[in-house]
Amino acid sequence: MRTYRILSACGTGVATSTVAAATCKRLLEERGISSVEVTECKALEVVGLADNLHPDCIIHTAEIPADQLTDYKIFRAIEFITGFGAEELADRIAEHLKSLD
Amino acid sequence: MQTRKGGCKLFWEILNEDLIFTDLDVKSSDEVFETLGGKMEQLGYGKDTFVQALKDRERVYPTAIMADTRGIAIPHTDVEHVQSSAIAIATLKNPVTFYQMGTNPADGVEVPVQFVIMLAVAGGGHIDMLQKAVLIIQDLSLVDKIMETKDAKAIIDMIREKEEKL
Repeated sequence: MRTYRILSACGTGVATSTVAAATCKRLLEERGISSVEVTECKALEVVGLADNLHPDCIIHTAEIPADQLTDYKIFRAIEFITGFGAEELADRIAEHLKSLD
Repeated sequence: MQTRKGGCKLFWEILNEDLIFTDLDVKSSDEVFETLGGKMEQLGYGKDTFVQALKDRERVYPTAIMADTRGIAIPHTDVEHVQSSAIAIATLKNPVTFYQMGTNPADGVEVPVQFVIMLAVAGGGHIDMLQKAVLIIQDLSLVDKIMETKDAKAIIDMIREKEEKL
């Protein structure tokens, strides 16, 4: 299986995006997707970083300029912070990643 | 004995009774930042730019979430405004309006918040601390118990008990 690349954006790049990234990795692993590289970043950096990293999807807990990221599948990931709906969100992300192969 | 990975402190160990506010009587999110953030500045966790940075950031990247029926805010800001990591907790006497995390406040997605966990995060490598904060938010029976108590030390004990079960 190849390594999937996910970009996780929040306001500061060190707080909620980190938690969202860790939860995302754990839940994807439970769905048989174990090779995932998550890069955390500030919302302000996300457009530039996406162009460099070409992630398989972007998750975010702060508003990001979706109109500049139309090449990427974007998931709002508040569910990974609250826990409510986290499993369903992970299902959707897993489905998206598997659809790329 | 508690196990500590890489010398990382347990969440309850860095809680400080001076940074726990119960039944806080405030009217706005700015007052929350001034009270909790101001105390963090005073105790040397936040630099003197900390409170203003919290306010500025919240206006761009709001931090409130609805956990079931409970409005919870986890305000925090950039590392350059933080001296050393700390956590402040507040239960509010009356709900205060914050905006939903992940939205633009201009879109007006309001969340009535009565529970606040403020994080002062000094640099990376604090994922354990952050995940613990999230574990509290995700345990609604614990949130409810904390909301009902007026005693800072009792709140620290509740969080310690929660951590000991993890």
